[in-house]
Amino acid sequence: MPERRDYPRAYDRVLRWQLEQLRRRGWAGGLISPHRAMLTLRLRPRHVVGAALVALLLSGGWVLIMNRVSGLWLQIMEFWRGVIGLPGYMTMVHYPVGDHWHLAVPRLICGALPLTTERWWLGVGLAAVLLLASFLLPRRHVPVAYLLRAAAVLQVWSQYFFAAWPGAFPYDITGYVEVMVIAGLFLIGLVPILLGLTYYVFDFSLVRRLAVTFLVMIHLTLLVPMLFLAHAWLIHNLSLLFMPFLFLIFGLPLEVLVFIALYSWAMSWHGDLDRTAAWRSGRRLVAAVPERGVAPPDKEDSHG
Amino acid sequence: MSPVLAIAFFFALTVGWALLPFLPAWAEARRRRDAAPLQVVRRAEVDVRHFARRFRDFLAQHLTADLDAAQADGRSREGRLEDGTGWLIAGADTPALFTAAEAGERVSQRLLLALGDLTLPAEHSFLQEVFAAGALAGGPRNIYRAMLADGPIILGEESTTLRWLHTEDALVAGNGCALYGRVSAVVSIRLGEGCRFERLHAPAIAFGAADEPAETNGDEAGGGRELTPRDLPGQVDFGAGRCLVEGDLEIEAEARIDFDLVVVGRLRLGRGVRVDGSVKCRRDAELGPGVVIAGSLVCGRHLRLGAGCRIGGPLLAEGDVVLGAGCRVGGAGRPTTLSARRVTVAAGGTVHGTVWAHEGGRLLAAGETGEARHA
Repeated sequence: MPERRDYPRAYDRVLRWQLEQLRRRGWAGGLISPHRAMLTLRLRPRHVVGAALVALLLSGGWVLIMNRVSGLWLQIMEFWRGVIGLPGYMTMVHYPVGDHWHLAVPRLICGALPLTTERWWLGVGLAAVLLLASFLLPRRHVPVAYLLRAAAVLQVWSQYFFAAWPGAFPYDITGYVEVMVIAGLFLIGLVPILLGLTYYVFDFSLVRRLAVTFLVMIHLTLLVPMLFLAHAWLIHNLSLLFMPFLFLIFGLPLEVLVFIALYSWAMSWHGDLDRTAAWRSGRRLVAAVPERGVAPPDKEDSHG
Repeated sequence: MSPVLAIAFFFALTVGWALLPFLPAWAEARRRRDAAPLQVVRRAEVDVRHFARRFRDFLAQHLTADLDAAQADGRSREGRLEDGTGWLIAGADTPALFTAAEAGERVSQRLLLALGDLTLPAEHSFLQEVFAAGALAGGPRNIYRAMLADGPIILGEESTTLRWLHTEDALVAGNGCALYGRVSAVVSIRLGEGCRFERLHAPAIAFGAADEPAETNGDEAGGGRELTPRDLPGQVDFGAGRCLVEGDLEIEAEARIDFDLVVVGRLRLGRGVRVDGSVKCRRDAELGPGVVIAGSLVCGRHLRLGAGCRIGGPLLAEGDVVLGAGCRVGGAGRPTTLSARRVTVAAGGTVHGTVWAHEGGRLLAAGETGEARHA
């Protein structure tokens, strides 16, 4: 430490810095971190700019490789279509976007078996099972019970529609799968932007931000073709009666839930807030306080 | 592979992959590792003397025999704790407080325990706790880790306390002191000009010299006309003695209000306004000189009090607070709390109870204006 009389300004600066570090030293020489209830996070302009930059770069990158992903999905769906014996075939359709680009989308050419009395009663059975299950669940699972009842109501409405207006249902498997695949492509492209708004703004390192982004994107990339091929198989074998149920329960909502589940997991990772710059610099400090092992008077307390 | 097996495998794979992201949530729901409330040591949060009591416990646990012996024969003792930390018990025989090395470096690494009054030299750093059973007086520009005294504590100018300070009597801090962490006194605290602080607690906390003249002391407040809720522009609701005002509100000087006031916008109270209730303001608030509020004052942003204002109850602000000269918060026998992000106080102010400046507080030096200024 320089002498005050020789270097007054340097002395004051160094002294202030050292005092700032010593304030956070406990009895045993360790760092006293603030209680996490006291921690606050400040959104600084550089965080916003950084988050926006990463989000836009990743979303832009997805747009660039989207057609390659469509090619991959086509291969995955064609492979599994053969394995599970779903009749029909796969093809690739190209939608022009502007003059210089096109969007490639895998298309499954496949029809559904007709709605028979047995299949209609199967739908009734599904609704009944869902309803019954909702009443058998323990009370702590009330949210799940209500979800099951909502699904049962949905299936009952389908039953009514297909009984009252047979043949009036306007959708088919080919169109359904194609629309869902397109929705999946855009949803995955939106993931970096969604995370930019809801995750990048928090105190997570760049590695963690990229990790959760790629985790969600890769998971959905592998899930979408398998999921909607499974939908196609079910609708083909059970008739179009089950398409509303699959669409509203296991379609986009499932993909959004996957996003939320991985997001919540990533939010539980430890951020940098409890290792703020002051604490990090404190670790580098050559402490004037020696290490001690005796029970400290102020060790257990939060700073402040 | 049979078709049935292939289909089963495909569906198992798809369902398994779809459910994989839910595993962490499922595991948390079963084990609930993150469901416990935040751990708060209650004594540490509600008892401002917590550190002092813990330190006394520590002394009782490790040095009771030596303290008793020194008390009995009046002779000083020194030694080391189990971990090698040195200690010195200063008895009536006025020993040398420092080793030659400590005196040379002006840094003391030992616990310093005095059985009576203790006077410390100037420009010295005490990196372990200092205790005095009597009065404790420190020279200017000292640095203390923590201090405890049964008698009064007098800190020399520009001294610094790093962790905590407690006295069973009164504390007087000289000009330019920096009091980090908790500072508490059973009787009173008086801070000199330019002092910085974080958390203060005493029945009476005086900022600056004892007889700082204030422009007005608030006794004449509310001498003008009495306002009813209907007189307030933007009043949207009145009930249960509370008036809600949308938008900004400005109250004329000397007016008197006998109900609680909630203002959604900015609030400006003119000179000498008296409110016989509590005031809450969601944005900035400015009180003219001599304003009296009998209850609490809560502000969503920054708050500025003119000279001689009196606030009877808690004074809380999410932003910065500037107290003009001679302001008083709480009263004798009616301790309360002043809490804000940063607190700037002009000389002559008094707070009864607790002052908590989350990012630091400062008592203005002579000649400084009331503008908030924090290093």
